[in-house]
This record gives sequence, C-alpha cells and structure tokens, in this order.
Amino acid sequence: MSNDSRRDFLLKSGLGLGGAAAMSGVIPGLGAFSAAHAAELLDPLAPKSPHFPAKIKSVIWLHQNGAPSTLDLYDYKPDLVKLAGQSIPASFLKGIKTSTQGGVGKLFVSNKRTWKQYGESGAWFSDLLPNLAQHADKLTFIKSSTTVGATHDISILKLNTGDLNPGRPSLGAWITYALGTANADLPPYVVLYNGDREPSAGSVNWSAGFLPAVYQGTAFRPGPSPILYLDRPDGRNAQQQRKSLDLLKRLNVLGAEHYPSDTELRARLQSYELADRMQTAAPKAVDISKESAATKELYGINDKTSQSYGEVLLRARRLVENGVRFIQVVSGFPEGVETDRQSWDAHSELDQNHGVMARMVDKPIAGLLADLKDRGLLDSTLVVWTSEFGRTSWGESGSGRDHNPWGYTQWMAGGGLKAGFTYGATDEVGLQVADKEKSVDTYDLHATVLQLVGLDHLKTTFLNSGRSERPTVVYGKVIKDILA
Amino acid sequence: MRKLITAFGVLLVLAGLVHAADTELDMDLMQTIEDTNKSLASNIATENGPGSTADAKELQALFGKVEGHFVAKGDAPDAVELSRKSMDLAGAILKSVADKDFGTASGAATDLSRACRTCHTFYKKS
Repeated sequence: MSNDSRRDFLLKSGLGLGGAAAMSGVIPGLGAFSAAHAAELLDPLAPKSPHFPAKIKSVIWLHQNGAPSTLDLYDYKPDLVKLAGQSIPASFLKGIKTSTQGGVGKLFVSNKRTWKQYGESGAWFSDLLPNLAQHADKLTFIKSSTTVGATHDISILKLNTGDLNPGRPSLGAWITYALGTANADLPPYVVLYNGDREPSAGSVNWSAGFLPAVYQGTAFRPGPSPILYLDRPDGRNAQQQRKSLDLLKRLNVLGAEHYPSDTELRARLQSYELADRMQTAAPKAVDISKESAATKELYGINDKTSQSYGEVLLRARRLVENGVRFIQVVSGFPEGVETDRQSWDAHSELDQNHGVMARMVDKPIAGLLADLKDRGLLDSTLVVWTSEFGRTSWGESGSGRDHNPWGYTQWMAGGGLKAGFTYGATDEVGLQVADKEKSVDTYDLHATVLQLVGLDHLKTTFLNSGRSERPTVVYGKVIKDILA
Repeated sequence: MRKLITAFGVLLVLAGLVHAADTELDMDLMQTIEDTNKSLASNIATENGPGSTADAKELQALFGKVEGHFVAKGDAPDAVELSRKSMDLAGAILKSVADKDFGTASGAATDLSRACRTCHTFYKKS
C-alpha cells in the first residue's frame, strides 16, 4: 500500500478527523487546548531567556574519569616532597575518616616528578603536562575542591547530578531545561567519550532525572560514525520520510493529549523531528575528516596515545561552533595500551598510569584551548576540567595513591573568568583544603557554571511532585572571587 | 549481700547505657532536620510564607536540641557554635520571610545547609 493510500484509509476511518480536529484546537471528547500548551507539546526545547546576560554560550565539561592525582599534575607541595616516605603527621588527618585498604600508608612522591612554573601567573605544572602548561595564563584554578564519597560511581553521580543517589538531573539537563536549544538541528546536550566502551558510571550521569526526558544528554559514539543510522534506509527518499513524520507527528500530538504527564512520549515526539533534522545537519557538525593536518596535529591526533581523545575534543569544538550548549566529555583510555586500569584510577603504578593518561589528554586539551582562542570562541565558551575526587598524599600499594575527596584541584577556562588565577589551596601535604571557608564543593561548581550561562541557581527551579527542586539541591554558592 | 551487689551491678550497667545514649545524637532528629531543611528550601523557592515560617521555626527548635546535646557532651565547642549559627540563620530566615524577602531567605537557607555539612565533616558517623 502506498503512503497516499494509507493516508486515505486513515482519513476515512476517523483518525484523520481526529487529527484535523487536533490541528483546529479541539480534541473530540477532550475539549479545547491552548496554543501555548500546543507549542510546549511540540517544542519543549524552544530557546528561553536566561535570568541575566550570559558570559558564555557553551560548556565543555571535561570529566577526567577515574580521578587523576592533581598532586602529580598541578598541586606542587614541597613539604610533601620533604616528608616523603614518612608517616603523615596526625594533625593533617584531623576531621577526616580514612578507609585506605591496608591503612594509611607513608607519604608518597614519585622520584620521576619534576615541577616548573609557567606564564605570568606562575602556575605550577608537573612534567606530565608540558603542552597544557603553555596555557597557564588561560586557566582559573580551584585548588580547594572538595566532595563526599570514596567510590567512583557515587561521587561521579554527585559530580554530575548533585546527589549520591540516582534520580536527579545532570547539570547539562538543567541547562537545557532552563535555556532550551541554540540550534534546532542538533541536540542541545551531547555526551562524548573515547575508548572502546561507554563510561562505566553509566547514562544516569547524563540523565534528565525528574525533568522531562527530552532534556537528557545524547551520547555520540567515538570513532568515524558517532551517530547511528544517520543515513536513510535504501528505497526511502526525503519526501517519503517527511510525509511519514508529518503523519506520525499528528498521531503523537493526539496521543500526548491523552497522557499529559508522559514526558517520555514528548521526548520521543521531539526525537523523531530532531533525528530528521540531524540527518542534514549532524554529519557536517561531527565530521572531522576535513579538518586540516595542522589542526589534527594541534589536537594530538597524529599520536596513537592521544588520537582518540583528540578526535573527541575536535568534535567538541565543532559542536560549540554549531551552538550545542553543553558538551560532556568523559575521558576513556587510548586503544592498544595494555593495562589493568582503563582510567586515571592509579591505586598502584601511578607513574605508568598517569604517564599514559596525561599523554592522552595533555596535547588535545592544550589544542582545544588554542583552537578556541584562535577562532574567537574562548570568550564565549567555558571549559571545565573536573573529576569525581582527587588522590591522597599517602601512597597505596607502594606506588599509587588512594581516593581523596577532602582537597584537590579543578580548573576552568573561558568567558567570564579571571584567567591566570588560583582560588584556594590545600594544606602543606596536599590532603585537605587549607582554609575551609574556601572549600568548593560540586554544588558550588555547578552554581558558578550556571551563573556564567546567565542562570541564578536559586531561581532555576522545577516542581517535582509538589516540591520545588533546583540544580544545587539545598546548597551551592557562586565562587564570585573567580569571576571577571 | 549478694543480691545487693547484683542489684548495684545492674544499676551501674543501666547507668552506663543511659550515658552511652546521651553521648549519641539521635539520628531520627538529624533526619528530621534534613527533611525539614529540604521542605524549607522548596517553600522559600515557591514563596510560600506560612510553609517557610513553619519550617524555619521547627528548625530553630531542632537546632536548639542539637546545641543542648553538644553542650552536654562538653568537648565539642565547634559543634556548639555551628548549632547556634544554625539557630541564628533560622531566625534570619523567619525575619526575611516576614518581610516577604524570599531572595535573602534563600541565601540564608543555603548558608544553613552549608553549616550542616561543616558539622557533619567532624561529627557525622559514616
């Protein structure tokens, strides 16, 4: 049966009448519905105004999965070097509960680590990040980061959603909910990752939680074909597809009226339309094959270790150019490297692990910063280096470090920030935040990101089962000292 | 005589149990504080004056009990200070809500939540 014959059949059988009635604003048996409600039914991703002028348009959230030791990257501690091999003085352990297997070990410093200061800011970088160090004056360090939780999955969940338990929306979902899309032809919230598997902590970290499902992140696969089924099937042309989608939309709108609280249905309705538009727009947005050789080298794509992460970050830059609001990048692991640990989680053999992981990300991130700057995009983009926690000053297994939620380093770069600036510090051995008044929890990081996209975290709310919810739960303070 | 000694021993054990109970903060109390705090945040966000007032008053009373516990404990001056700070913040919220200044109330509620977290760092059993 052809499409025209199907349409005739449906029209004559009465569904067409229902569809016609829907378009006129009246559903048989259901009464009238407003044009505004109809608009929301059709486009929950319509652009919305921020609370105040935004400093940035897009966020690139660089989650370093597995928790790097910032004591071996950014947080140089001469006293830790002096005390290496000794037991940690008890005064440094006040107020924390440790759970390292085998007990708290001796203070650990790699004998391979060297440190230098870079740029006018004099920021410290270890030998592991030679390329990123060249961009010292672009970065805004937060060296008083804290969180809770001593296991990856729950702390990753808190990093992304603000809670140790599943069910809350991720930061990207909140931003999408509050601002809508800036490009109707692409998902406003995209998740990228490198490696041979999806991030182990799971899709709950880019979920919409209790927000309508349409605001969840869309994961693009690594490699040359990031989006499945981008091409139309053989034997189906664009016009046929458009007619099918038009009919499907009319039927879905009818269905949505019967189930007004079914956000999954709304998300599905949107996804068909978005998928249709993406068939035209997405290949261009994610295709990095036509980038110049110089650009690919800038992102470390010519090096086997950094190739996959570099491709992901180059894709992120293209998505920023195409108006994607939130790009959540989860670090994976380079292909072809044999090891037990496929992330930054160096409980042992830290030098070997961080040697690989730092090489995987160093040039790509440096390249991203340089490329955004050269293209005039850095002032309207926010790049966030973040992880679920840091690592302890004491060693574990003789050659690694355990998890440390009490004091570690993150950084941001881009519009609205004091570049070449450091906020807060850890204590002399890099274990806990030195001045607790300057502690920056995940809620504070979220509040600050929201501020930069023009949103007051206290006013970004959603009524969930009668309770008003916000991204920062009941916490969160904008880190005003780092804002330009 | 034996009965007397046994009775005295039982009394000592009971006294010890009571003392042990006194040094432990009631977890139901802390859960009530947490739930009331979340309700307060919601009521402030929706500018529900009566709801915010009721929650803030309840929190004042609950933090009074927390203060009493740590005063009796005797070796937790920072916890006593945090409890008093929390009571003051609850009072500030009451005033802001009465003035219909929900923006200021929201900030104070966030500070109150942070005070809770600070105290938990040292005194919450995992």
